[in-house]
Amino acid sequence: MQYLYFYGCQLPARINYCDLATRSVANALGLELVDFEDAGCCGFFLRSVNSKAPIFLAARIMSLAEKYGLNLMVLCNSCYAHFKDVSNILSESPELLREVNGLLANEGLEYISKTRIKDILQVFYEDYGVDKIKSKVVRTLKGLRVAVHYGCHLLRPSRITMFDNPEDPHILDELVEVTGASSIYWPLKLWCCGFPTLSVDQKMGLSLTRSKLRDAMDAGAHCIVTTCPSCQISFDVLQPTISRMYNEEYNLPVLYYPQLLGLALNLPPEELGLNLNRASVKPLMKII
Amino acid sequence: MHGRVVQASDLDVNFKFEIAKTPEGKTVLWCVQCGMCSSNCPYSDIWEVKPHQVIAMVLLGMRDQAVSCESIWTCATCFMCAERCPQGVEIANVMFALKNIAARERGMPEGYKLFSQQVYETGRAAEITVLRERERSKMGLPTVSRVKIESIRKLLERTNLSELINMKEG
Repeated sequence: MQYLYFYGCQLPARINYCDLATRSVANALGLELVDFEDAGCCGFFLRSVNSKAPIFLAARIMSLAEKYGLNLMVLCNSCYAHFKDVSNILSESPELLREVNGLLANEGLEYISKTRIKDILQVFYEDYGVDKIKSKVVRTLKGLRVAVHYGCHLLRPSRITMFDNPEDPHILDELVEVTGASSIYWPLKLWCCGFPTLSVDQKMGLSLTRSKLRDAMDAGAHCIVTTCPSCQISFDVLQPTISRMYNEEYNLPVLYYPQLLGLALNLPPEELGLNLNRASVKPLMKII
Repeated sequence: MHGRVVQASDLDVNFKFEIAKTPEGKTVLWCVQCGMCSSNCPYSDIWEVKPHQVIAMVLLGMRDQAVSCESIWTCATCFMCAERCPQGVEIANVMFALKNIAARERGMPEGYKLFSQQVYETGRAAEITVLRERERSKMGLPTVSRVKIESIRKLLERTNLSELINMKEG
């Protein structure tokens, strides 16, 4: 299975260990990831300032993807939702599609909506399959209590993302439990990590992150598992900032899903970048 | 906004139609003010103007108040409001429509300006520093692919983005 690999902007700027873990796990499972040249910002956050710019940028990336003739595997929730959204918009508006293709023609590109947009979890769950993953698990993570965090833009707006039941999702829970770990109940599971607010009001954004960290700890979680680079940054990279800001001590390990899966595949921790998580993952190693 | 009297003569009664004509704001007229969005918004206990009140401002024609309220910019875009709205109002999208107007007429917040500038100059929303590239190569990861910035700029020049970047927030 071959995919065009798209990790967005936040990952290479802040958390390259997620890239490392994803490549290691893909390699172990026999998924081939093809690096996507010339793919930059998907345009999602520009929706706040202009209505056309986010469509142009997403359409350009999707049209570049069509040249590879591969399905797109997206790591970032916001990029995933935005590509799906723009695909819908362009299929509903022939006029806008003409405008977009007129602009893309300058570069010899054309958006023809052939490429399928897949979130990394859909690659694991739908294309690869839970049973096949199960057959590859060689080290059970039994006893590990995981607070599963989907992140907003995989689930909502569900009419666009078409990912899972937005009120009672199960895909990531199943992917976590196939490792032997258990997905626990935590009341704020479906809430936002706060990331999109950070650029305007860091304190407000981090107040959400803190609420969720506390909620996960109160529920007895050993760690949080995320599937989106932005969420991973909020919970892991910014955890010391939250500790300082509130004068509280947070040491909750936060794993990017491929890191957790990689442990169950018995890949060496350094190939999963586990030494690079900001909140130390050492407590987890004692449990599993 | 509590306890303040709004004069009917200050209202822009066509504002709701202005919003409803935008691609992001097309669902706004369906709102019946039930308050579902505000009871599901994670910022309801922090925001002075809550989601249903932002929508009420649009429907009533309180144009200045709607485009100047802080809630529109701190919205986490978690889409809980839209997902649970029984009327199918895409509240977070209406906020995008309001922000588009605010950016044009009042300037955008510094954080958004930095992001936008970053995209305009590098094609990416976040900077990949030399340090990061070094870190990647140490980890055995390929360099982050360069984006053809001239192509990105050509697309963005068809929008008002560079004007917005150079505007002062007012």
